This record gives sequence, C-alpha cells and structure tokens, in this order.
Amino acid sequence: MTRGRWRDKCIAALGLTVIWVLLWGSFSALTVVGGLAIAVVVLAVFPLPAVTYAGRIHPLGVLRFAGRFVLDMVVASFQVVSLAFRFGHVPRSAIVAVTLRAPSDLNLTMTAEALSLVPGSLIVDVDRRRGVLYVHVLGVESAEEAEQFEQDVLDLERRIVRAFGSPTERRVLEEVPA
Amino acid sequence: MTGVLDVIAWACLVLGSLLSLSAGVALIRFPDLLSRMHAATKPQVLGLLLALIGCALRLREAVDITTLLLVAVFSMATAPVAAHMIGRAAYRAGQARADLLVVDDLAGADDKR
Amino acid sequence: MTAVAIVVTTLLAGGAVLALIRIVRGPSILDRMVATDVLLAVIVMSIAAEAAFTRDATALPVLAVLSILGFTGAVSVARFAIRRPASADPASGRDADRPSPDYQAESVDRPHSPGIPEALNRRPPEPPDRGDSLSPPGRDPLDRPAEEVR
Repeated sequence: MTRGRWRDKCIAALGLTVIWVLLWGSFSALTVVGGLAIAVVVLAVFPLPAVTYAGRIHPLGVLRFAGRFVLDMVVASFQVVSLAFRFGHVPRSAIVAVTLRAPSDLNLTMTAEALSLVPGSLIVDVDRRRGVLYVHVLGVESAEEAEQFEQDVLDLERRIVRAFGSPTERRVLEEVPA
Repeated sequence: MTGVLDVIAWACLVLGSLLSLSAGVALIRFPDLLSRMHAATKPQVLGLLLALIGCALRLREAVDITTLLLVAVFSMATAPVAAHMIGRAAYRAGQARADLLVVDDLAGADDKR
Repeated sequence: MTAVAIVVTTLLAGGAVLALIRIVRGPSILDRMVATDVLLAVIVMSIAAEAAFTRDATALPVLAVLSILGFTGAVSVARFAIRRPASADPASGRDADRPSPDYQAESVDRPHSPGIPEALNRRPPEPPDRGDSLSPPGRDPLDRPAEEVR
C-alpha cells in the first residue's frame, strides 16, 4: 500500500468521524473517539475503491464554481417551472453526447454530479473509458440549442478543473480550445 | 433582527413549497419519463435546500443547523446517483420517446460499446 | 404567520397530491419511483416546515433518515426493476424477450430495441491509463449489460 493510499484512508476516516459527530450533535471525547473507531471498522470492512486525487484545491476557483453553480440552479429551476406551467405546449428534449477534455474519474464524477443537480439536465449514460457523458436536456427545440448546451457543459468542466484539477488537467484544458 | 430573519425564513419556505407544487404539475404534464425526472430533481434540490434554509433560520441552534446541513449534504450527494440509475434503466428499456428528441447522440453510440 | 403556514401547507399538499396521482397512474415502475421520490421530498419539506413553524427540533433526525432512505429505495428499485440479460439465464430467456404490458404501453420503435444486443454483453476493455487518474482494475458494478424493465 502506497503512501497516497494511506492518506486517502485517513481523509475518509476523518470525514466519517465528522459525520458521526454531526449526527450526535455534540462535540465530546466520547463522540469523537467512538466515531473514529466506527470509521476505522467501516473502512476495514467495506474498503473504498481507490480514487487518487492528484489535484490541488484552488479557493478562488472553488468560489467561482460554487457561485456559478447556485446561479445555474436557480435559473434552471425557474426555466423548468415556466415549462411546467406552459399549458398546451409539449416540451421537446435532446440527448447530447459531451466528450470531456480531462476524462479522469474524479472530473467525470464531479461534472456529472453538478449537471444532475441542476434541473433541466440529466445524465442518461456515461462512457467512462472514453470520458463521454450522455446528457438528456429538457426544453431543447433545435440542433443549435443542443450544440449550445454542449458548450455550456464544457464551460462547466473548465470551472471544475480550475477549482479542483491537477496541473496535468489544466494543461490539457489550455491546449484544447473550448 | 429576528423579525428580518423570520421574514426571510417565510420567503424561503413559501418559495420551496411553490417549487414542490410546480414539480407535481410537471410530473403530471410532461410527456415521457425522462422529462418527468427533470421535474423530480427540482424539489429535491432547490426546494429542499430552501425549506432547510428556512428551517435553519427559524431554529437558530448550532445542533439543529448541523443536522440540517447533514440532510442537505446527504440529499445533494445521493439525488444525482438515484436519478442516473433510473434514467439509465429508462433509456435502456426504450422509454425515451424518440419523437420528442431533437438530437439523440446515444442511439448510435450504445451499440459500439 | 398563520397565513404563511396555511399557504405553505396548501402548496405542499398540492404537490403531494399531484405526485400521488402519478404514482397511481404509472405507467411503469420507474415512473412510480420518480413520483415517489418527489413525494418523499415533499414529506421532508413539510417536516422541515413544521419544525420551522413550531420552532421544535424533535423531528429533525427523521429528516436525516428520510434523505438516506429515499436514495436507497430509488437505487434498489432501479436495480431490481431491471432484468438480467437473457444469455445469463437461459431458462428465462424466452420470457425476457417479451416486453411486459406496462412497458409496451409507452414504448416506441427504436433502431436498437431493448432486446439484448450481443455487443453489450462483452465487458469493455480496461480503461487506458489517463494521466493522473488511477482507475482500479476490475469490476465496475454500474457497467452492466443491457437490461429490461419488468
């Protein structure tokens, strides 16, 4: 087992302990030690697949990503609401394939999660090997709009990589124009 | 100060419940399963967050706010996974109506894998 | 405050009733699951609203449980609503090719029908090394062959 693997396990155990303490709602020696013990047992019995994180967290990028994410969520929610209340109009949709430029597992997961949480887009299938997301988009009336959406996803990927990506991923993104 | 917080809390709750009603309307009106799933993600994410924020603004106790934070994190982490599982099963079962799709990039790609 | 409570309750009840109608009408189990998810979200929201109105935090742990429960339900239904490919179980092979009535109600002809294409039964080759992503070799539980809704 390498050192990176140990670091991942420690972070996972710490995260589980924090959840345990939050669930109890009190910060005391008993909850912390008990949480740590349970976290170690859980990680030993149900080992996680290795997701090695090679990137660095950039606070400014995270802030920009989070702000834009909240904005997207609110705007998209009200778009879906207006679609729901447009009686007599059957909304059409599209399934768009988006090939990510930095198809690491972590980046793929985060982009997919962010997309799913925003109403109006839904992941139907993922090609993990080639880094392709198949996204179902609601309220698309023409092929041009579908292309526009693909561009939006690539922009989202850029924001995520700028927030959490590794230097390699950043280089890939700068080389391939959006 | 408490008055202002209360008003914000009420606004969040009303907005959240409005979103849940519109999700219900969309659930009835949208033509196929995948479109309806878009409606389902809406109350689960924004509506739920608004309701939890409203609740946190009213309770104002550290213990309760951490619990609400956990609920928010749990549902935000799990909702996409559930949506993806259902959406994938629906598409593979042929429940995506081709006549409603402007573009379908997956139709050809599925067989190549 | 009472007025706000009435408005919020009415809106939430409306959402819950509409979700219930979709649960009853179906037509497939996945539709019902999506509507159940919405109903669960409405329930969580109403418990949160109740806690906000009475300023009583007794019900908050229920929220934490419900938010996990909804996920577990949706994922297990999506998995168990799906049939194993015919080739994996020869005994039920003939049956699996015949769509259930539920499924026929909403299906349309597609170029690749949900009858199981052979190409999907092969496990895809191991992913190539992609820079800094160290994907573990071996099984991907989500990467399963074509399925059919019961």
